[in-house]
Amino acid sequence: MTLEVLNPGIQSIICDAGRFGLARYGVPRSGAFDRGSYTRANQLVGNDVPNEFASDSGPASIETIFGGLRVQAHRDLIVAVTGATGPMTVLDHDADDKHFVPREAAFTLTRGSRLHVAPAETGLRSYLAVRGGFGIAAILGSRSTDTNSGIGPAKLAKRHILEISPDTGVNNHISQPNVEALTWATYDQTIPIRPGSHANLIDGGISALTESDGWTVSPTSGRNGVRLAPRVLTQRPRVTADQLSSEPTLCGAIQALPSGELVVLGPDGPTTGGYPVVAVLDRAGVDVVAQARPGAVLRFTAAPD
Amino acid sequence: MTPETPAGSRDVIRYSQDSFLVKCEAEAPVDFLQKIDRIGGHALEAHCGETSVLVRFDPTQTDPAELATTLETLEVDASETKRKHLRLRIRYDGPDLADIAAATDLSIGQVITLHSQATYQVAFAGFSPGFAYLTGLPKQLHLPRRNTPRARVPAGSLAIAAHYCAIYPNSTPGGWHLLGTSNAELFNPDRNPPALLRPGTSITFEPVQ
Repeated sequence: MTLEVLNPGIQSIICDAGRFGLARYGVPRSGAFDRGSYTRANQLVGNDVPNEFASDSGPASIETIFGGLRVQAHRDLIVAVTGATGPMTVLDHDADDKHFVPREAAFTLTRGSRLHVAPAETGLRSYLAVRGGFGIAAILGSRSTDTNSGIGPAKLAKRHILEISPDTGVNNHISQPNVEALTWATYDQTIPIRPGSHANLIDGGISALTESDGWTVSPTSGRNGVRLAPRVLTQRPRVTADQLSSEPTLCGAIQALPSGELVVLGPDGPTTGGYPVVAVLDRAGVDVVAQARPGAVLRFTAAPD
Repeated sequence: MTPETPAGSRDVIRYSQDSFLVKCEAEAPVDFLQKIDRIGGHALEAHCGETSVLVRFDPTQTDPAELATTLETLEVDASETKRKHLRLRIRYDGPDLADIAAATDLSIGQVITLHSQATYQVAFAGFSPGFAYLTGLPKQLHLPRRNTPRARVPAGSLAIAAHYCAIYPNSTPGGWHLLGTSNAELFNPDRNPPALLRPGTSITFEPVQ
């Protein structure tokens, strides 16, 4: 027994870098939505993390939305939490007082103590990494929960016990992330996009996205896709062809819906789609979208070649 | 029909930081997909849609320009594609049989005969894990999707829409016309590959009571 989930909060899942090579069977990548924060958390605790483009699933961590996650250590563990910002407290087993612990840094969660990831002040998704990674059986090469199809470990629930993996590569570079820590306030919320394969099917091409007063994240967003509505209704992109052949897609592709909304496909999104792909985000842009709460405003700019 | 694609004729688009979209005009996407698998090398993974293939690579390891040239000029010989054949038993008991018959001016018996005498090919997958889009549906059975999608289509449902046929591997919402049911295990995450119907698989349906 090593780490017990006392409360999963709004939604906590297991994530690693994802499933690879299975999109042809309709199996999405899944895995950490904000890959940069996942990488940072694991680097902080000294886990070896694959480069962001490699087909390697990497160590298993927890991705939790907004806040409310409470866990208890049943032995001393080195942990780090990254991503969204906000208070985080530890209640030691032999103390009455809880004390604050910083995010974006590794610390030892001693045996018996409880960690509470309080609701986020900025951002949406937090990543809890533990030195060694969580030891969970891989399904199709990955320990990631697919919230859409149910492949992989179940969403975390009360009394869920997580073990530490004996076979994750670890190093001695604890607390030395080589990825710059970002908070929502420091994220550049103007996201570079490159033209999608169907940019020509939208009036004005990608300028319909870049020359706009911004896009509001809709509450119906999730790991399948983040829906964006134009802040100014008259700036709805006009799709000039609706029924398209199904094309292969990826996390980060931006589809234009007939309603004028956009959908940024997420890690659990479908592997093919028939809506026109007007633009595609780079990896870093996906991380920003992963941290954008309902109501947040995003803007796009044309990526340099 | 010549089996080989003339060099340099293929349209290759930079899709994302780490992928190219290859438009297949002279060949079926599945033939290109399997060719990518055979050459190995710089393509990490690939998956296909109706008319194109997405090829993912690691831009820190691979020169995109070099890979683009390879993809543009790759010679694809359809006769090298592996085509496993499956015969699946189907109970033609779907709730939309009467509607399909009415919409196509056929009897229910004719719909079943027409459907079960064709040979189908897995063109690509999508929608949900193990959901394969099968081509080969006789023209007379091409129908637009139902006006109102069902909130829940039972797992194993054999369905048609437009020029496609499919079997729902899981119970999901769906707007296709339901023809019958299959007991085949279409998706098993404990098996790799997890899907029974893979790009290139050909299928015939055997009506059973």
